[in-house]
Amino acid sequence: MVSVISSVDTGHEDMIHDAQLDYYGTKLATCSSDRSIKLFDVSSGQQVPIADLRGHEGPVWQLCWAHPMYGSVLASCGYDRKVIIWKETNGSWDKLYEYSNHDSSVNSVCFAPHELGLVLACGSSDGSISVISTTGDGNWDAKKINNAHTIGCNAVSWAPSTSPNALFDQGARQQPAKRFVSGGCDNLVKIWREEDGQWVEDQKLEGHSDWVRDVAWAPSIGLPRNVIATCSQDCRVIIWTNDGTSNHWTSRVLNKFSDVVWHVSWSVTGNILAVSGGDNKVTLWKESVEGQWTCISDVNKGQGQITDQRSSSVEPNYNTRRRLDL
Amino acid sequence: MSRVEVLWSPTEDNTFITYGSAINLYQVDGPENSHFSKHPESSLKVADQKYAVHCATNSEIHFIKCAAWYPKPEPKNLLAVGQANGRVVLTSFGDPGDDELIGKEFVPRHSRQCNYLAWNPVESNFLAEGLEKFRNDSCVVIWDVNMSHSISETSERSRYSSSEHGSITRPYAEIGAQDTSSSFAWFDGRNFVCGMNNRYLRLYDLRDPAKPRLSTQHRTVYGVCVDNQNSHRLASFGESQVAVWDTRSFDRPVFTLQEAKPVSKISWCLTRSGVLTVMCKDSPILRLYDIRHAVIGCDDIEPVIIDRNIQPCGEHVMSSFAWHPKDENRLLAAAGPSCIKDIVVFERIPVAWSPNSSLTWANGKRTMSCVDSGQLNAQDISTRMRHRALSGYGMQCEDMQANAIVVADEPNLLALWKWISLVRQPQFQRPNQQGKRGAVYNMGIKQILKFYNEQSNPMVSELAYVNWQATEGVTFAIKHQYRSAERSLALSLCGWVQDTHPDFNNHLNALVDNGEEEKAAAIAIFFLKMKKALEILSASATTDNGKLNLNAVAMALAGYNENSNHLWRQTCASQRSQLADPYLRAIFGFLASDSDYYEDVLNEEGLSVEDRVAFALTYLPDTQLRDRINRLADDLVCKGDLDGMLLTGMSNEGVDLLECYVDRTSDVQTAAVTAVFSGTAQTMSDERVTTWINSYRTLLDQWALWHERCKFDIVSQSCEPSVPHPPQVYINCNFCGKSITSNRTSFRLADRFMQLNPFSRSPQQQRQKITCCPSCRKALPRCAVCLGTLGTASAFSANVEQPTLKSGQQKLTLLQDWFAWCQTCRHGGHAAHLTDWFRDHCDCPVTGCMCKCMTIDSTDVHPASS
Repeated sequence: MVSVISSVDTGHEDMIHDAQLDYYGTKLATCSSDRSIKLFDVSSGQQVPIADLRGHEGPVWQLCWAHPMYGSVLASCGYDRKVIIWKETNGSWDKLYEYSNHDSSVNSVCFAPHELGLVLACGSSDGSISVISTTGDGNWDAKKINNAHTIGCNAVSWAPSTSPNALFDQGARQQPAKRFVSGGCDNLVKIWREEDGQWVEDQKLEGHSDWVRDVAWAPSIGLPRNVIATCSQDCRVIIWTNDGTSNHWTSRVLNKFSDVVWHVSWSVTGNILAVSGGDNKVTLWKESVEGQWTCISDVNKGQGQITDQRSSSVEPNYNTRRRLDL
Repeated sequence: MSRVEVLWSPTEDNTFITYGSAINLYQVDGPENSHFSKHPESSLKVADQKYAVHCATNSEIHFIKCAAWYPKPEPKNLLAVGQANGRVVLTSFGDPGDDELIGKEFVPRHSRQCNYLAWNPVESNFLAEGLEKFRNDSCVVIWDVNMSHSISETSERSRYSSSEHGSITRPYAEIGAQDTSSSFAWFDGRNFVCGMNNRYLRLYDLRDPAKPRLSTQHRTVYGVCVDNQNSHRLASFGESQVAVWDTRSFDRPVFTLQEAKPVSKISWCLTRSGVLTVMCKDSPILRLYDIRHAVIGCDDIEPVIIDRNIQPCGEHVMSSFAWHPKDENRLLAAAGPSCIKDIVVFERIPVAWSPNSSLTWANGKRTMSCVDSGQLNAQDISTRMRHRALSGYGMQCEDMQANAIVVADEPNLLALWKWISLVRQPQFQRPNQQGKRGAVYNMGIKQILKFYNEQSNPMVSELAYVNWQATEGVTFAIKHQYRSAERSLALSLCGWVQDTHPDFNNHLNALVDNGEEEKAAAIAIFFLKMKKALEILSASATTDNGKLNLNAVAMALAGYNENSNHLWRQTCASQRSQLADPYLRAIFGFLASDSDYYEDVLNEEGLSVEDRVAFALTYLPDTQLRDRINRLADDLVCKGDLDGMLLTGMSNEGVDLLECYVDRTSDVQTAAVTAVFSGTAQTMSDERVTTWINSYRTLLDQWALWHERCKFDIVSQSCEPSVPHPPQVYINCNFCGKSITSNRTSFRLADRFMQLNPFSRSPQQQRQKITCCPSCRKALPRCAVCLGTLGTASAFSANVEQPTLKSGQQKLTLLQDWFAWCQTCRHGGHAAHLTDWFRDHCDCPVTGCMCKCMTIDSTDVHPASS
């Protein structure tokens, strides 16, 4: 069974919005409404604070670690419309680059697979998605997809790179496809593909009936097929699959929860999906050999306990959110 | 249902009161309390596993209009209660004790309704009371509860007749003559805001109560409250409108929210910034507005408001609610005296996976980690792969069975490893065509039988007539078997030993020793050794091992009769399926079958694939055999069953099979390892195979299993020398920038050194010569520990012209003399010296370098096997 081994106070003064572990699982980064990002060394099993990054002027929504081949690099985005890329040099953390070309809150950041270089996708409430890249000489280049999601983009996630690395590369293999998925307030999930240096819409996946809150492209280990998990205010988690050769995506509702689902994330090998929602639960899901998704464990984070049944005492529901104009 | 208000204790975490006609004190009990099951009737179920135990009732005070809880812990549970006539009573529960505050009363000049009471949270002697309008009287009265009534008991006493002894009638301050006041909130010490006269919101400072510091005219004068996380921010309501204010620009609201129904109560969440809760009349819903408003530079971003409705009490109309003063997001909601819920309103829970399958998530301001164990670990392929890698799975290329031992508990892999090790026997080697490669270990049954290249000389088998070897004097009809060189080879790949082979009996005895009597008997029968089969069965029957009585089976066998109409065969055919053991079923299926028709045996799913194939190899003519094996192979490939690797070998079809297996199980490790051990140049260039190998290497990297990753690279290099692994590091000279490792001139240089020193045979001496850059002749860097110049001959071992490791190994320098350095600070030295240094230190040996080399990419969390 699942057991909670530690519960640690991070020292944040307000809600934590994201927590991310680096590639090796040794460093934990958290970000909060208190405008700060905190880094912890978790390699010893304890949370030892390393750094407190301040630079955002509003709540920090999301974080993403780059592949370690680029060093210790962390991207953050926040309500202040900024994307900041942080880098550690000799133990101290500094801003490597600051991108502030969005007109509204930036909700999501995600680094591309390392094979594509240091490339970052950012989704914003202004409805656009930026793809920022660097060649390593200190120059940064940004491409913007305007009006990617009307009202706003809530989440972005890159497709894993399927290109074999140079070790066995026999040449004559085409450039790896650059693709990512995004979810937004228009209830849509969209897949984007780079074509001749321009980002074009590859797929529009319709299935959710309310804001899409999070998207996660499953890591692939030798599987040709593509799997995407999306979750929404409509309380559903949908698994989208594609056989890797055709352009056809099929959807399957993983589960309809009793409350909004905020967050989905895949385990490192893409075998287990962790889902967290407004019903106070972190649930773990696994696909059986027959293709059925089953809940393998249920963690009630409120008490730090494991329960087998769903709580029924709280039955919140959600209305459409709005942004007020003055 | 009468109206009920709720209040959390400001000091006790699990204590709250409800008030309406009386005041009730409750204590919330969690499930950890032992008397959980025997709660008295008066307890309320406030959550799934929480009960509010009723502790006390105070029913002495009538006509309660409002109540406020004293902000200090002592005196315990002190409440100020405002009555319909404007009188304020300080009260508590049970025995009043000797505290002088309890029992005090404060009486305004003229009796009128009390609208609110508010304790100053800092200077807790101040209690504000709001009153309805009465002539010239003030509507806001601030009482100082420490004021003793002797002071107030002067001339005032005579002017306003106070019936009860001890009433205090002189307030500390009075505000708003001829007005009415509907709401009030303290902030920043002595400051307060109040809604007055149904028209004004006014800010006062208690030090100068004569005139308001700020004032604004707006309809929303009810329920004014201050965000305690941001005291500039106020909220108030009026009718169905809620207004949010900033005291720094008080002339108009920052924004307003329009509700569908009249609002009855609003409150800021006490533990989070910018969360406003709104309750409407006759509604079961609480609406939470998460107001995200940041001022960046000089331009305001429009506030984003995320609203969320919660319905804590089902369909019941909400009566009151209260945020917990300390516990994050904890809310007490009341829909009536018996319907009170203690809930926690959760937000987005960020979850992060670590590579070793543990989860970390954040909850409010805290983080919690959780490690999966037991059931989850056993189920998940990634933890299993990690465990296997740590046990050396797929890294032992000398003894294949050692790999199989690691996965001994996974029966679906055993046949695969049996094939991988069997196929390495010399008889399965094909002549080496390119001359470059070492051995190829990719043979499957289909390759041996030449099923893949259809045209070139197909297999031709000869028919053999074989007699039964039964007891003396008994003869049975001759059986048809098929023989060819290819078939014999294929049989041995199935693990069978032919009856013509001298080891035949040993093989059967080995099976018996292994506890597989049924299989041994079946093989004996298939090779028409009736006598041997009977021996095996009777011998094993004497050892009592709890199995089916094999004696009875032997007896049944002995009665074998060939006549198809004979009772024996009919009984055999009908009763066969009752036998539990598949090999026994196969034996009787074989005996009961009509001549040359063996579907009963061939379709016996309980038999392992190798035995079924071996049987087919013995009894089926060429075309049928091809048909049967192709069908079986197709089926196994589709299912991704690794048993099928025996048939397909490491052919394109074998890669298809592995692909299905990986699709099904995600076990990329086994696929990668199989591909490395049995791959040919052709399959190694298959994109799927390279993807598996790279995925597996990436996984090992991510698990920080550096040693395992290196071992895997070494194994794949030694198994597949024709695919060169490019070096992953290069060493450049600090001065000329040329590589000192893969530089061809270095070979010549080395040769020249050899030639210059024809008498120097000691390799030790030779190594010491090469301490300078081969191209510019400048000295190489020094070892940080011994300060000797670096430089070993290790580089020359990677001789491109003699790619096999075996020839290279002779030239390899001892590892302890190799270059080693920190990838972060680039300081380094001899491997052995650095190992010694970092045994006791975690920082760089170079003076002045602050690099904590040892802690970078530390594998402490994932201890490697070595």
